[in-house]
Amino acid sequence: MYSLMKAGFLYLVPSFMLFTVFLFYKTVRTAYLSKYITDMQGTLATFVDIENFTYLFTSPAFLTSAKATVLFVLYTVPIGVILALCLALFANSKLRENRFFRKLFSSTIGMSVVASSVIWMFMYNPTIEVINYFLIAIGYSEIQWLLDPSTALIAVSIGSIWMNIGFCFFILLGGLQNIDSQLYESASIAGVSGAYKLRKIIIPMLLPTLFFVITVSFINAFQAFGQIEILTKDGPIESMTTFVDSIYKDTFINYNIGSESAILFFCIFIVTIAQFKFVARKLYY
Amino acid sequence: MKRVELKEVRKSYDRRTDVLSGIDVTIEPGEFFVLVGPSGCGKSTILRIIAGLENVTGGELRIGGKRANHLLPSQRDLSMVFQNYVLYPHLTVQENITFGLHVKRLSKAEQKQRCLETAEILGLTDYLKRKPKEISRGHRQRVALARAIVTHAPICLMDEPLSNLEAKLRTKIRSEIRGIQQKLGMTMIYVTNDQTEAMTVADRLMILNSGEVQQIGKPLHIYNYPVNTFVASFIGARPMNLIEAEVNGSSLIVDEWTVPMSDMIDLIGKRKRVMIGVRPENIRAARQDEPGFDVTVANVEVQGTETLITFHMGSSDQWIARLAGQWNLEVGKSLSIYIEDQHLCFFDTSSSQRIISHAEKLANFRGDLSGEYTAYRNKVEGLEQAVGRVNV
Ligand SMILES: Nc1ncnc2c1ncn2[C@@H]1O[C@H](COP(=O)(O)OP(=O)(O)OP(=O)(O)O)[C@@H](O)[C@H]1O
Ligand SMILES: [Mg+2]
Repeated sequence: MYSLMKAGFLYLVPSFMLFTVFLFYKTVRTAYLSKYITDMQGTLATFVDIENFTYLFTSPAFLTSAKATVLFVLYTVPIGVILALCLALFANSKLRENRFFRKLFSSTIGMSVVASSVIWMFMYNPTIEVINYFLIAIGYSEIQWLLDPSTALIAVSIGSIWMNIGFCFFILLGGLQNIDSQLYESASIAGVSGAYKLRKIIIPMLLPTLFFVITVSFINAFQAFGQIEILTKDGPIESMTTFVDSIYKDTFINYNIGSESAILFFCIFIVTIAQFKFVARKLYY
Repeated sequence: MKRVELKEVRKSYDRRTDVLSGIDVTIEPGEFFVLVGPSGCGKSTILRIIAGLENVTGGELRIGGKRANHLLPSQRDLSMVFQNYVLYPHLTVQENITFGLHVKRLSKAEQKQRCLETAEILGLTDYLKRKPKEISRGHRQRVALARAIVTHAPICLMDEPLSNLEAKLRTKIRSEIRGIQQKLGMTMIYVTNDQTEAMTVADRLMILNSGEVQQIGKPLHIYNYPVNTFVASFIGARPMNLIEAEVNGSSLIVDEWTVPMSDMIDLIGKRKRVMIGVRPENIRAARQDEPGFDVTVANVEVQGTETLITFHMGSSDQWIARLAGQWNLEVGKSLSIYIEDQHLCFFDTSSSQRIISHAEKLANFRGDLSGEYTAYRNKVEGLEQAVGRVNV
């Protein structure tokens, strides 16, 4: 019995080690770094306690990037997930039961961020003007999508939604197909409306999948870097700088690891709280 | 109460092989109609077609006198218990039972009232607040039943609704379903692969085999007058004993057993071979003065009020005799059995159809006629009432 338990613990060791090295150490180190100021070489210079944080919350640059991040998340996550859900519902309905739509809707999964960013760059490009061409055709004036501060964030959000939607669609479709068709059939015998079916059966049964998709979309939105970097090249103004963007610049251009760590720690903290809140709610029946 | 008619209904899933080949049946209003047959014969398919969950490949379906081929499931005004029922896992038992009742314009209070009534009948009152995964399989099956009953739909379809219950409970709930059906006057179409269940609850039953109707009729009539060897061996707690015999002049020969033919001779006609069938309970031990036939006992099951004796007949066929009372026979001993002529059935060896006497044909014909006459009378009375109403 004892040796069996020992063997059991032995099996757990690799996972514990990985966990310690890559998660635990990282988090603790981040918290530790967030209390120091670094010099130009990135070595720790002075202990400043919470000064990095107070600096952050008073820094206008941080506040604009916080606003940009929140807006970016708000633009991309709900719309992306809802669109993906609509597409999944459409592709899962009995009438459209063919492979074509599934292939089409999930086709963006395989594309790299860089490749799809380039596609969108062409779409918005003022000299190639794919989108403006249509805008003019329906009687609107031309828009400098990526240069105008008021549209840049929206333009990037549209591109990001497009990049994310394939994955969300794929996972949600899987979730939908896991719902027993008998439940739909007995609902159709009862004669309840489509909206009622959606509200009372599909959404509740899809909740675990939806939760997963939303979490991943959140993470993706917070980490959005490639498409912002490629599409805006720093953006028209600071309105386009999101968290990750500013972390990147602070660390590798300004060598300011301390305040960067403060941002990172802050983000992890928020996401963790949000996750605890969600898990505390009864998601699983 | 509504009539359900299937006319030449055919169904094929792959457009090549027919799962149902021309089903023709009329299920009368308020009838408890049982569909029975071996696994894969198309019972569930018929129910799903009636419910509107599958399209027919050919033929016509009429519900309540109206063509229903293209009606939506919800327009057919019926309820259904699925085989391997699935409940909504995120709803409580009560919510599961009342799911969709709002469509029938029932107020919350009425819904609750009906739910409680139904739960009472099925013994679910204590479980109303639980989730499906917190109750046993048997209870879940009852929730599935409750869902169908609670709607008070005029037509109720049930696909093997008791398959997950233990034998005792099965008998109890079966009779409860029968009671509810009679009380509410529902037209019940009930699928089972258990012939005992079919025999005990059905007003009429239909026996299916590989998508073809074998026989439709009252349980006892089918038991006594099976149309072919399939029905003969499918219906009955123990299948009918069958063996092929050779016709030799005026007697039938099965190995060493010779049956002298008396009135049966016309029946058999010019056939050279014929299949003989006997129900187990029609075999009895021969009395001293009777010309018995000696068989070797292969197995004995004493069951209190009766004894089942297995013995070999011919080279390979196993026969079973059901003798009243308790017989302490030893395996390997010989027993002299006797079968009265009237209990012998004959089947054609090539078509497997039962060979029917002219007298029986006539009786059947009279039965058919009287059925048609009743239908005709009903029609006339209906018309008279309608005319009367118009006059007043
Ligand atoms: N969706 C389907 N697609 C293709 N073939 C099907 C489908 N549903 C049923 N079948 C076939 O139709 C035949 C009849 O099936 P059905 O389910 O009606 O049988 P059943 O009498 O209900 O059997 P059981 O007693 O096992 O439930 C089977 O051969 C089955 O393989
Ligand atoms: Mg079935």
